[in-house]
Order: sequence, then structure tokens, then C-alpha cells
Amino acid sequence: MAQLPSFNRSMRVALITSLALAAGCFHAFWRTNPVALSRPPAGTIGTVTISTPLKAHLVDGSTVIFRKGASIGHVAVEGSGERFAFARSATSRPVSVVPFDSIVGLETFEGKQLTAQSVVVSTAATALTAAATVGLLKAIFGSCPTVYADTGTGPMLEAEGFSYAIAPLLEQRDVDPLHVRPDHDGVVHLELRNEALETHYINSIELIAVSHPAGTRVVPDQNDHLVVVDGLRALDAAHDRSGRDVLPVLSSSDGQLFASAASTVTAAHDGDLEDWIDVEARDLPPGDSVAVVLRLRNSLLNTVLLYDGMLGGRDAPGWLDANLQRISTAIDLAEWYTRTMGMRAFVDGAPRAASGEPWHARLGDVGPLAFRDVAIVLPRPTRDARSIRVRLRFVADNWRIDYAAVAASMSRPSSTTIPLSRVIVRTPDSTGVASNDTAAVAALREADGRYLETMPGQRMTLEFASSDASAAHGTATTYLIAWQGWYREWIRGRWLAEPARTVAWTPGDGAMLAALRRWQSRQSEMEHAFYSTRVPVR
Amino acid sequence: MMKRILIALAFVGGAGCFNHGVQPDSFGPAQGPDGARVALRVQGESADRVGELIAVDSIGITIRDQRMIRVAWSRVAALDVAQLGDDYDIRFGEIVTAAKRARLALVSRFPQGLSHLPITIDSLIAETERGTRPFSDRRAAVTAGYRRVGADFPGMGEHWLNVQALLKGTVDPARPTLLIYADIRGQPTLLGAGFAVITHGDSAPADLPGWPDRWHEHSGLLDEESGARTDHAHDAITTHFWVMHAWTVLENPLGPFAADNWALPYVRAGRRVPDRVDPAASRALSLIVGGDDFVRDLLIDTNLRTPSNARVVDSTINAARSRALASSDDTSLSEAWRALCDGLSRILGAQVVALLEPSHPGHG
Repeated sequence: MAQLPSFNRSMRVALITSLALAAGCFHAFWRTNPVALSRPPAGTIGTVTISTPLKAHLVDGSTVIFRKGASIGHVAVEGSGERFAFARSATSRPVSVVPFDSIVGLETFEGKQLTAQSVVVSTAATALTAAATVGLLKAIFGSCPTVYADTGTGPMLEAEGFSYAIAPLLEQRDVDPLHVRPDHDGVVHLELRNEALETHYINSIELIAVSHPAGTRVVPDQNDHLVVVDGLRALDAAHDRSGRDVLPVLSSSDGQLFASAASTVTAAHDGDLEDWIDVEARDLPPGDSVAVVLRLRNSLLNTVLLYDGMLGGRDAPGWLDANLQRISTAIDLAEWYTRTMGMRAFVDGAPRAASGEPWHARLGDVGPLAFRDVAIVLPRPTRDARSIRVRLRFVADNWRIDYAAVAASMSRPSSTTIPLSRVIVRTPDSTGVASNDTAAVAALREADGRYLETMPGQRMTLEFASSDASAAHGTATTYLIAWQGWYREWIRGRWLAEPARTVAWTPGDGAMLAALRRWQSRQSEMEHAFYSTRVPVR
Repeated sequence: MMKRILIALAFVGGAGCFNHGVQPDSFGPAQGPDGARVALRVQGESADRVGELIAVDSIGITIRDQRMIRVAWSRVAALDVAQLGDDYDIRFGEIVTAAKRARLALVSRFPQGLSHLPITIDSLIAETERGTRPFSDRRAAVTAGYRRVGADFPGMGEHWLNVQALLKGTVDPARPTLLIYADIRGQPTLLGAGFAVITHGDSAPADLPGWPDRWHEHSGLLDEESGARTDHAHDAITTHFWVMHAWTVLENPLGPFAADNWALPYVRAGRRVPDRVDPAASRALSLIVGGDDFVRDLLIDTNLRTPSNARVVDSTINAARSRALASSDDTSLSEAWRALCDGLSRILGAQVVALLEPSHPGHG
């Protein structure tokens, strides 16, 4: 071994000791510690390219159309766009960058001739769109078309239509009971509004009149078939999954609403998202079925699922178009939604339904705005069974229920369809001229390939000429609206700037649980915003 | 007296020798599960179909020879039941009473009927025709949850889908997944039905009538399935949407389960449907009843018709339409279609023919 010059034994010891200490230091320096990962800031999310045509509605009332799609970057939508001063004006100028903060809403639109539905646009739409724009920023949430009726105390919200039909393939028909009465000429007036940041495509609207014995009620059942219920009576017991006695809340229609217990919502997890209510009715008269009659609406859980889940990423325009236009993907979504959402009823001791479905009846979601009266018609465990126990199962906190009762006597009524006779549109300028929009009438008369397209802020009066305004002695007439369509949600500029998700959205318990947690943390804030802000109508 | 006794004995003895009718021990249906042997003559056919009587009900007669067939009463010309007499046979021109139907049912294999047995491809048309009668009024279909999807196809009409029926995943003749309508003389007219099922991954449906020969897939984008794209890319798809048409009202020259029904343009045009339909002639005929718009829209959606060539493309389509309008026979109609294909090929390239005459499985 060669001797190191001028190194003596003590120096060697010191060097070795130093190296050992240094090695110890280095060892400590490189030790791996677990560190919690956080979501990357929105600004670092990559650019998303959308190949479908896009339409951006801007805060100043103008519209930019990107016919060949666009790139959604960190702060703006970029592409080859045409800017129109108003939605349907003829002249445009080129534009390539539209900052998120100038966008009220971004929507996809059909460039196809064959698959796009034929659309008829009301003559007043252009002016209304521009006029309503000033108020758009106040509208935080939206939800489908609404109808109002003057029942003597001013316009009252009567119904909301096809709440979750967010794509053409998901077009839906709803039947909603109304409290409206004909005027002295036998004409029923309803006001149709678009109070949301959405484009509505309404295929048909008609009025249904049902004459029935006074003292009975007409409501749609879980399949939107009409049923006359008689001898409505209170439930004998009602308990939710947490064990709460919810009968006092459900026994009268007084605005006191059932909502899932906080413990049930907190306990929800992947694989078990449910809450339920067990209802019992005893001493029933003979019969083979019963109707559980409910007055209810949805909570905003579905809305959170839509806004923060499905539409919560920068890929949302592409998801809405490419995914929901793909038949197999739309089927996947519909299968999951049917299996998960809505309300499923199971009757203790009754044979399994002939349809092969695991539940005896399923009620679809009805929307978060207007309460709907509905009957869930169910088989008894055995013919003439005197008591029945029903479990109503649903995703925790998906429902707000005002009232529940049971009817042992029911029948299928005959009904009269009253076609739409006029659509009165009042122009928003100073003249305020009202005119019958015959194109809108033609579009709404039949559920066919013709649609009425409405934009935020638009409203119109629907008139139905009822042939018989007066009910015979001992009878009453109930009116219901049957309407069909779908809507396209506007993807807000704010959602693009601060996306709620950075990975692709897929239907499943995970997505539902994420929505539930977000809903749980923001419930009061969202409810206040939702119910206090609407697009003002003109 | 003795002579009378002898005569009487001779009659009695004779009666014993000549048995009238069929005794149970020699009548098949009384000895085992089989139904009676029958010879069935179907309206328009020149030979009998001979086989076992399977069932008799208010819709018609089901027999099995090489395969199961179901014949509606309106198409039963005559029936001969082996070993049984006039009480059971149906003569040409006879109006069959309910009492005779009930008698016939008793000597069939399934006197209780077939309603609780699985639907077969052979019974599907008759069952669906009966089940969908209420939907001849399209408003009833709308109320029952049917919605129009996609285009109005020249050879298929409009498809109206019932999502709830689709999600049930069953073949229900009274609630088929699809109803097929077309506007005939301004009236929405029911032409037939369609069944659709969903499969996941590589799984195949069980006990599905006509599977897999009669079914074709529509899992892609709506514009692909409307013919506006030919680049089907279903490889990555794990959810599959399968469709089988059932032409219950408008008879299809290519068979009751073929996807395209080229009789439709003739019906739309108010012309007699020929015994043998040439799809090319029919496609040409469709140009005079809205098919010209379909072709134009197809070319727009595929970006083949552009502002620069729109004028010449439109004039080529219009010329074919005029030629079809002037054609009085299928030969000249067929030539009109070929001329359109050739003309558009020259302008847009040969790929346009694949678009105009798609070879999608099941689309003839």
C-alpha cells in the first residue's frame, strides 16, 4: 500500500471519522419522506383541443362561433372564430382569442344536417337574447324550462320540464299537474320561461284535461301515466335509514321538507351511497295495489354532479358533444343513471316485478325547482293484503320530500288533449308589441323533428283553448302539462378558468361520491345562490 | 221374424267391422305430446306446408316442419288435419269460427297457446304486428315514451326509440325498443318495429331471437350511424348496441328482418311495389320524395359538398331527380341512380359511392 505523503495516523483517523460523519450527513440528506400530493394549480393544466363546433356567449351580448372547434387553454379559448354583435346578426368579424372572463357561457352546437334536429326559432329570440345579456352574470345556476301560471296571486311557478335531458339522445317527456284554471273564455294561459344559462330545445307542449269526481286527485304515476287516487290517507309509520321518525315531516304539505340525516350523508361511501325511508300503511281496504303519493323535488345534488362533475373540466364541450353523441356512451350514462339516481321502491313480501328489474317501481328525478305531485303505484304483497311496507331507496340527500300519503283506491282516467293554440311573444323594445308566433306554435304542436329553441331571458305566453271550462256537478277538472325536449347547458367561463376536475369524468359511484362530498360542504351557499338568482326574463 | 233377426245381426256385425272415426289409441295427440299432423296452405303459395300443429290462437296457426312457422289467419288458405274430418279441416274460402279455432287448439302440441313460451324469430313478426297496433297512432307512441333519433332514411324511414324499453334489455313484441315511421301522403305511418339490446365486452345475449345473423351494431357516433361517416372505429368500445329490424306493416322484399326496406320509396311515391325490388332503382325513386335532401345533407355532413362545389353538386342531384321523375320503369330508374353516382364520383371522388350505397352490416 502506498503511503500518503504527510498523512500521519491521527490525520487518517480524523479523515475516516470525517468521511463517516459526512456519509451519515449524506444519508440523512437523501432520506425519503412521504409528502401529500395536491392538485396542480389550474394554470398548469394542459390545453384541451375541442374539435366540435363551439359557440361562446360573451358578457357584452356578442357571440363568437368557432366552426371548427377551438383550444381551451389556461386563460382563454383560442381558434379561428367569427364574432357577431348579436347572436343572429348577419355580419361578423374574425377573432382568435376569447378570454374566459369575457365568457358567460360556452356551448357546443350541431354542425350536422342529418343528425341535428330541425329547429324553429321564435321570431323574438334575437332581440331577447341581447336584452337579457345585462342580467346574465347574476345567474349562477340554471335548470331547464319553467312554466308559470297566474293562479290569482301573481305568476306562480307551476312546473319545470325535462330537468336532466342534457343532450338530444336523452330527450325526455314530462307530465306535470298544474293548479291553473281557464279564464272566462275557456282559455288556459301559461307562461313559458328560460331563466337559466341554457339553450332549450322544446319539441312539444300540450295540455291534458282530466275530469274526475270531486274529492279525488289526478297525478302522474312513476311512468307518467295518469292515475286518479281516492281515499288518500296518512301513512301509519315512516322511518329513515338513520332511524328517525319522519312521519311528522311527511304528514302534511306545509313546506317542512324531508332531507337525509347528516349522519347518513357522511356515512355514504363507494358501494353504498344510499339513504332510505321505510313507510307503512295498515288497515287497507281490499285490493291488489296501492299508490304512495308524494310531493317532492330534488336537492341540488344532481346539479353539482352536472356542473362540477360532467361539465367541471375543460374537456366538457368535447364530453357533451363527442361522448353524448356516441350511442354506446349515452347508453352507459343512461344505464348508470337509471340504476343509481331517482327513487326505487321495494315492497316487502311482494313477488319480484315481471319486468325483471330488481325494484317494484322506479321514479325518475324531477328537478330541483318545482315540487311535483306524483304517485308510485305498487303491488301489494298478496291480493287484499291489509298492510304494506315499502322501502323507498335513493342516493343520500338526493330528495326533498314535502308530503307522503297512501291511497288504496285508484283508477286510470280518460283524458282530453288540448293542443297549443297560440304562442304570444311580446317584443322587448319600447313598443312592447305582442304577436302570435305561428312558427313556435307549429314547432310545439307535435313531438316530431321540429323544435322551438329558446335562449336565456326569453319568455312567452302559451294559450290553450279549452272546449269546456266548467266542470259538471260533482266533478272537477285537473289540468296537466305534457312537454318534451332537451337542453344544452352553457359551460361558464368561470368553470373553464377554475375547473373542478382535471381527469376525464366517468359515471360511477366514485363520481357520485365526489359530488356528494362537494354538495355536503357547500350546501347552504349553493342553495342560497340557486334559489335567489335567475336570469331575468323580458 | 227369423229373417229380420238375421238382418239385424248382420247390421250389428257390419257396424263392428267398419269403425267410424279415429280411436284414441291410434290418434297421435292422444298418445303423446305431439300435435296433430297437418297440411297447411298459405295464401299465395302453390304447395302445402306439412308438419306438426304446434299452436292455434286468435292470431293464427303455428306449425313445425323443418322449422317453426307462424301464419296469421289472414294468410291461411286451407288446412287439412290428418285423421280428423270436416270439423277440423279448413276449406278454401272458409271463414274460420272461434269454435273451430278452439277445436283445433285442442289437437295442437300447446293447447294453452305459446304466450308463455320464449319468442322465436318465426313468431316475432306476428307477435310484434299485434303488439304494436296501438302505435299506428304516433301520438300513442310519444305518450308511451318513444322519441325520434337520427335522420329520415330513404330506405328505412324514421327510428323512434324507447329508452326505458332499451334499458330493460328484453325482446317484448308489445313494447319494442324501436318503432319505424315514415310520412306517407303527409301522415306519420307505422311501418314496422325494431329491437335493440346492449351487450358489454365480449358477452353475447342469451336466447335472443335471430341472434346473431339478423342483428347489426350501431354503437358509434350518431352521425356515423346516420351514414355521414364511414370510418367506424368501434374497437375501443366496450358497450355495444345491437339492432334488428322487424318490418311488420310494410312488407320488405329483402325479408322481414333486413335493415333497409326498398319498398318504402315506392310507397312514398304512391307507386306499386314491384315483386323484385332493385335497390338502385328504389334509391333513384327516393330522390323524388325527399331523398334528394338526404343525399345533399349527407354530402354536407361529410364535408364533400363545399361552397366551391355546391352549385355543381346540387345540379347533379337535381338532374338525377328530374330523370327519376321522368322514369316509368325500374330500368330507367336504376340508370338514373348510376348516373348520379358517376356524376358525383367525377366531382367528389370515387369514395362518394361508398357513402351513397353504404355497406354497413345489415344495411342492404
